[in-house]
Amino acid sequence: MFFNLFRYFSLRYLLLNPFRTFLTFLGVSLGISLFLSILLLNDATLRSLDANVESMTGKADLTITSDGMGFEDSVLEKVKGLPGIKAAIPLIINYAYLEEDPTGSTGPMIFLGIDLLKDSSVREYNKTGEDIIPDPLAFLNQADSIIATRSWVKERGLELENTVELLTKQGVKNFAIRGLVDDVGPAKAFNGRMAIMDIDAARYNFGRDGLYDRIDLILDKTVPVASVQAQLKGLLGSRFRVEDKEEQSVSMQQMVKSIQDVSGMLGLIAFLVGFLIIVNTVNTAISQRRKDIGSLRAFGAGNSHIVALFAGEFVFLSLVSSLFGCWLGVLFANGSAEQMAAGMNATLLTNVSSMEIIFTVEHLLKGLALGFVSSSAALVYPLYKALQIHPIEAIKPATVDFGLHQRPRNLVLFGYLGFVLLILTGAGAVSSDAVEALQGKEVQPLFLLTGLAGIVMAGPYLVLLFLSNLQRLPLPFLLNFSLANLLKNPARTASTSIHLSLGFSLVIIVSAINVSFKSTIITWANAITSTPNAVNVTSWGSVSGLQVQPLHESLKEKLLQLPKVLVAERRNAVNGIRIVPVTISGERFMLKAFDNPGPASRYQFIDPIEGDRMDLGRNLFDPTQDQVLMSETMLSKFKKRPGDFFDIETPAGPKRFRIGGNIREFASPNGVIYMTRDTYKKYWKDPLVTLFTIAHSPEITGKAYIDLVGPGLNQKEHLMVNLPSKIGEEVQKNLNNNMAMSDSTKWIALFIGTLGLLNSFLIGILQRFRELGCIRSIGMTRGQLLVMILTESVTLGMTGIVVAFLLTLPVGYVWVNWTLSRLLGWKVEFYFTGQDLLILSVIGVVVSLSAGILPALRASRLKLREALAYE
Amino acid sequence: MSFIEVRDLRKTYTSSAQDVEILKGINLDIAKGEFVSLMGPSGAGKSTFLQLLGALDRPTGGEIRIDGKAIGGLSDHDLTIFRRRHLGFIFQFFNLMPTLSVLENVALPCLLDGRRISEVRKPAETILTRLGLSHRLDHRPHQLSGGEMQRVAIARALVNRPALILADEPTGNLDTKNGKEVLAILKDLVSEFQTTLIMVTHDKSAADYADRRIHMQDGVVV
Repeated sequence: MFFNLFRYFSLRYLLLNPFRTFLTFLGVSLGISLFLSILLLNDATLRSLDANVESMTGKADLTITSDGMGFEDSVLEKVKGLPGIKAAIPLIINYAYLEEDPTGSTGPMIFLGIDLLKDSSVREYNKTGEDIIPDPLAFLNQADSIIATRSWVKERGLELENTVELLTKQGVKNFAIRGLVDDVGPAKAFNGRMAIMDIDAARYNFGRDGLYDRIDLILDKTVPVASVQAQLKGLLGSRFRVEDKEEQSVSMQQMVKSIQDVSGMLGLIAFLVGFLIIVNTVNTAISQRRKDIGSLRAFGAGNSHIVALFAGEFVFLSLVSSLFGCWLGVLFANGSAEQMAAGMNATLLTNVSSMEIIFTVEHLLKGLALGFVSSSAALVYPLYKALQIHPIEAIKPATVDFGLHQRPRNLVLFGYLGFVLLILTGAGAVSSDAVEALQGKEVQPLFLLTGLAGIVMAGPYLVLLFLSNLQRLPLPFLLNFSLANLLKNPARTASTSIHLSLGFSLVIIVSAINVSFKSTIITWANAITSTPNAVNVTSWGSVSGLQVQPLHESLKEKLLQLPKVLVAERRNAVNGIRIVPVTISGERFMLKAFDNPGPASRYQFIDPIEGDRMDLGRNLFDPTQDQVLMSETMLSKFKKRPGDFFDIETPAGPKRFRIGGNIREFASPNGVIYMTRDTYKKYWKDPLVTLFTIAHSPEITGKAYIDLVGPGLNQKEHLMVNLPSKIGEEVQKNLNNNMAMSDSTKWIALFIGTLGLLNSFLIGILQRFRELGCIRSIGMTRGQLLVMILTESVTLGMTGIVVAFLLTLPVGYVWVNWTLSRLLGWKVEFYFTGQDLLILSVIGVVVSLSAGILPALRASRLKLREALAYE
Repeated sequence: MSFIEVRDLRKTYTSSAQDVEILKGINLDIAKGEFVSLMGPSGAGKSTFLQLLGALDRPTGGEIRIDGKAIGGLSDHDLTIFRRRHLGFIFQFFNLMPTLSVLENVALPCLLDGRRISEVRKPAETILTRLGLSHRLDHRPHQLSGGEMQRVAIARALVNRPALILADEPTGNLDTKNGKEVLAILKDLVSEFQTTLIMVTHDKSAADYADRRIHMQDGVVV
């Protein structure tokens, strides 16, 4: 019986309304695909991070890491002496660039400096059983030996004993491939883009003398791991992390969690827009088929049959749409994986190299479950109404609904409830104490959801209020008539406006977040890099992603010999800046150490939040006391104020610094600390420099100066010379990569919203078929009808957009200023210009016009005979 | 020459399965100011005939001339203008626009013709007063009784003083008392305005109000 109901009714209804079925299918598919693609990308990121941990940690029981610039090699000796430690294997990790990559790739390569004799006891390098190093003696005797991955060598048409040119601390050097590893272990985690050299050669070539980046420990199985871990933590202090594999994974996952939470929420909202299409279609289908339901009931159909009839139809449609959505989701995820990894690596300094999208049965089930649950949820209320239909409906004469509908009480109630939710969202987000009481960051995504729920609930009510007030104005007849048509069925108008409100709200919010985020960071980047008459000198690579090869400070002398270097009083012409990640109290922060450029430079690199730039500069370079400047995120994290003291565990032991000022800094979401390079060198013993700035004579422009000195520096030292603004451009590129997914999400959500709008308008036309036929018979031309329907859609669209702006901009303001700032750690300022408003308004008109054209054409082409006979 | 001349009028509906011939060559003449009732069993083709006379649909063959003008050759746009200015329609379910007041509903054909409400207020008010609805001008359709709604529909059909009014079961949705009232009004107005009225009905007593009764069966006039 149920199969017959499906075969003779459900399936046929779907096929009888092909366009509506297609719209619902497309809306649900796109919603599911977005949700799933974000899920797949998030899973792939976590898997990649896990694989990274797994392959790098291998068989090690515990791993010791510290600052991004490494830690002193004496730690190895200290650790080795502890009871229960069977083996301690040190490692150096470094980025390097090929002078010329035959594949055209410009990305960095990961170089591992390993203890060749011991490392294989931890990490896996060989799968095929072939010799990694055919001639071990030749390899060890020559400092230019490297081991490459088989895939990397094959891709470039290289073979054993071939040489490659690499940019090292000593300039470009030739390295010979004297060994090959399989694509397993670390090689697999870095997608084959990895090479290995002897640890001493790596330390020499990459300027890491006396340092290690990590030590992997293999413990005696009889000793509890936790006790050794506790012992090591006590021995090494808070500058070091001592973690097992799981803890390393958790640390990595914590880094990306906020970004994943936000993107997951956006995906869910996009799906919600698609879900509304099902709700609308189900409602229409049931209200259109009252007579059929009455007839079936008269013939003896029970409640279960009626439920089966509609459930079969919509659950089937949802499941088919979900299947297609899953396929589409995999496509989307594959398309954006590389960009997402690049953005994440540059911003969070992760090593996500291999983002392999794996679609599992679990993903399929999640996609299908989402489709099933959403269609079931959409069915509940309409089905309840359907079950109330009496068989008498079947024998009643057909009546046409020409009547005015009252504004449903529920709609008003929903509206008020929406406002309450919006107020609560604002209050909750603003009140930091309440947020912390509710477990801090965990509740932040909730405010995104409550805010949107508030918009969805309050939006339709405001739209109706707006339209009824608009109708009071002395408007031309056709516009007035269009308004009256919209107002005569408030429920229909409200449900139509929800699609647009939700889709458009998402666009406004994501745009506001993106614009605010970008503007804040770019404004900051421009402010700190706007030093006039200056250029930056670095090795090849991205400074903002810390993917440059550090330079030795001795290069300063050579740079001072360059022509037109500005020699002025109270200003140093060539200054080094060292940028390194540091671990403080187990968390990772960014440290920037500066040479004193002198007061004449106006300390342009400092962007103060409190106080004067010059005062902060003087504090920082105060020779009488070790002082630091701290970003506001870091100050609030440690509950410190300028003038307080702050303890840092340095390689030279714990040191106390006076906090000389509060600065705006976006280099790390956790926080950034500024100190002088002299102080840094004193405690970190690191003579390297990430970049040099050269102040040149004002007689020459920056670009001309680059043309003057750039080619020489490039040829002799293999250095890059750029304007300071290049860093800002890099930051912008990284931001674009990071925001690519949310950008795509918002446009797809708007597209789904447009589909929903189109669906609603089409349904509206169908419901008004007889009314429109009547008005045509009285004398309305096709053109007038077309204009009337288009006027209705644009009026509703524009009203929806105005309401979306009114509700969403304050919500966006609260989110950007409070929620987002807490989620990401950066204090982001709300930016939304008149130009953004104008662009989005134009998009809104285009969307509502596009959604209105098809229904308007359909209405204008209606056949009068059929329309007047339409029941 | 008759006011309405129908010659060999044919209408066939084509579907993928088969062609169905609804009207099989109707010939008919109706004089100006004549009140004609059109009767016949279901499927006789009454409504289709009315739709063709009302320029709502196009015939498959034959010709209709109204006041000497062959309407078959008119474009869709011209047909719409023709309906707006020269024809009036009265439907079984009144088909009043719920968003418009009584006065606006009556003035609707004029408003669609680009005239201002101030220009058409007077003739609309006059006709509504004539129909006993002067106290209902600003009411909405849902505030009226069935009889009142049909009187508004009659007023709308007459506001342009059309030469021809087409009524499809105008009393089909009214009780006997209201139905009689509406028919009496129609008869009076037809004679007063010298308008031709063609009314489709199943009701024999309603048909008795007409000057002439035409019976249709299986797509032909019998």
